[in-house]
Amino acid sequence: MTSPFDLLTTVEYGGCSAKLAPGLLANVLRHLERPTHPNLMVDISTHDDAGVYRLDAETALIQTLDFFPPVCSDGRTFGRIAAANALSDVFAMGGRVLTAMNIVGFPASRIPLEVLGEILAGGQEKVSEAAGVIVGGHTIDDWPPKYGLSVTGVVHPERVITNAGLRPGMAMVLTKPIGTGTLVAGRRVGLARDNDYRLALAAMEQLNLSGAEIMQAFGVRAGTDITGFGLLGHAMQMADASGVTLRIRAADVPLLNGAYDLAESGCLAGAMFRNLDYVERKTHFAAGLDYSLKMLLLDPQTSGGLFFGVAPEKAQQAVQRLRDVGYSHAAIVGEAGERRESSLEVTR
Amino acid sequence: MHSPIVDARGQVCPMPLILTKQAIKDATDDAPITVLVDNETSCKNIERFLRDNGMTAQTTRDGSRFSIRFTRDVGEHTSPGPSAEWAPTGGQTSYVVSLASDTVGRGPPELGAILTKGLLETLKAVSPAPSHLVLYSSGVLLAVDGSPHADALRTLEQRGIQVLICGTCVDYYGKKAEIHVGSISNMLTILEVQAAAGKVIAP
Repeated sequence: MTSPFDLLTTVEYGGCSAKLAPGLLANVLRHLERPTHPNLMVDISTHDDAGVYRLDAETALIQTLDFFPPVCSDGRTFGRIAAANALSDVFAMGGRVLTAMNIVGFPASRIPLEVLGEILAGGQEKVSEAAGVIVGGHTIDDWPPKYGLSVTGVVHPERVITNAGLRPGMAMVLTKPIGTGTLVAGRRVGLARDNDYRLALAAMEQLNLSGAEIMQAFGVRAGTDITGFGLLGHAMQMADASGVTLRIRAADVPLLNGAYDLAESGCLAGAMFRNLDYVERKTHFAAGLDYSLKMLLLDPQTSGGLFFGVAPEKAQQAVQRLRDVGYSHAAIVGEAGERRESSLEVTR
Repeated sequence: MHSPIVDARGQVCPMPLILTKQAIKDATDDAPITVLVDNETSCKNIERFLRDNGMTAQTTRDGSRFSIRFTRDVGEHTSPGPSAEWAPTGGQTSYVVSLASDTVGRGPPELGAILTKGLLETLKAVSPAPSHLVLYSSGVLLAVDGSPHADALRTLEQRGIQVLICGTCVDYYGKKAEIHVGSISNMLTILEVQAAAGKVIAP
């Protein structure tokens, strides 16, 4: 049942578009002492998706959290998407989910309480699907509403997947199509087609659980999930953390239906320009690259796909496996090379 | 000629850009188009969009109201389509001006500073205008906040001349946070821009 209250009326920026600009955050974090500990395997220095802490020779703990304002109108779908997005950070590190806690901001005096019930039910669905358990949470009175999860997972210490593991020669695979930010923005101004928008919601609800299992099955050690910084922002973080240059073939990047037409009509969210500022001095864009396509590569994703490097001889097989389990747009979109001047080279 | 005015005040992002794009598409001649917006981010994004697509914008600000005036690009590429990043702004052979020092010439620094000022002032009026102004080595210091030349660079940028600033050089001087004009760029882009230009002028 769709709730009558439209959550999208509460926000101008939703989902990962609500992220603080990366440059601003870096300026603040620079002044803090970076914690070190012999068991801390992955910290904030490589812009990874979660912290990883070794418990013993067989087990490392993965901890992450993510929450944001509504990206869609109904509570159930918002709950599912916010949960899928938060759980994804564990999958992006190659792990499996153990427990999760709800993080909720909700204005009880301004939105019917049933909407909160729907949001939490949507979240619970996804945590269960990920084979995890919700063990509690924290709710404050807040406007606009916000929802997300703090998630705990585990991974074998030798099978952690990070931004820093790329090596020259690896093929780069993307599991989900790009364009969720554009479809949500297009919906808000009444330009997105209903069917395209529904497919975008479905893509955001889809867990990266099976994608993570396939990464492990193919021995992947370098990967991330695509969220607020867009494909190129996250690709740049991986290239820099790994000391390689990534070449992305724009024409091979899978797009959600309708995303390109929206971009062509000028539906370019402010966050795309922010992401362009973030990547452009370390990115070489080929002359003649289509402008709308270039901007879509910077589209902030909510609950985006996994993006990982795999041995080139196994890449096609990995893509086939991904397609078989439901990531129907999975594709090889580029490759890693020896480090050159730019972090990224985007070709047509 | 009919000069369209797009009133995008009060519209949320990305509506102002959608309306701008629509106006470009609907224009039947190359009369200037004016877009009105009331928030700075929308204004900046529209300016960036126009610049990236080879169109020259002039913005006037009145409090929190911005008026962006530009002429539709009537080159061979219809609407944005393929990026016009390296394309010359006019039909003539393009050229690039490259400054590797914050003073022009090898004379005394005082003279060099005077020549730099003269050069940047004159560039505003030169026709055809260069497609790019490249700043590297100590040339990047011209663009830092408080430089007497930053305003002149801003004017050149508003006239559609892309100001490319060498990122490595800016990092060397530790001035990245103090640059608010031009685009910080890399060696590959800087070389390609110069390679693609008909001429490079290095005064």
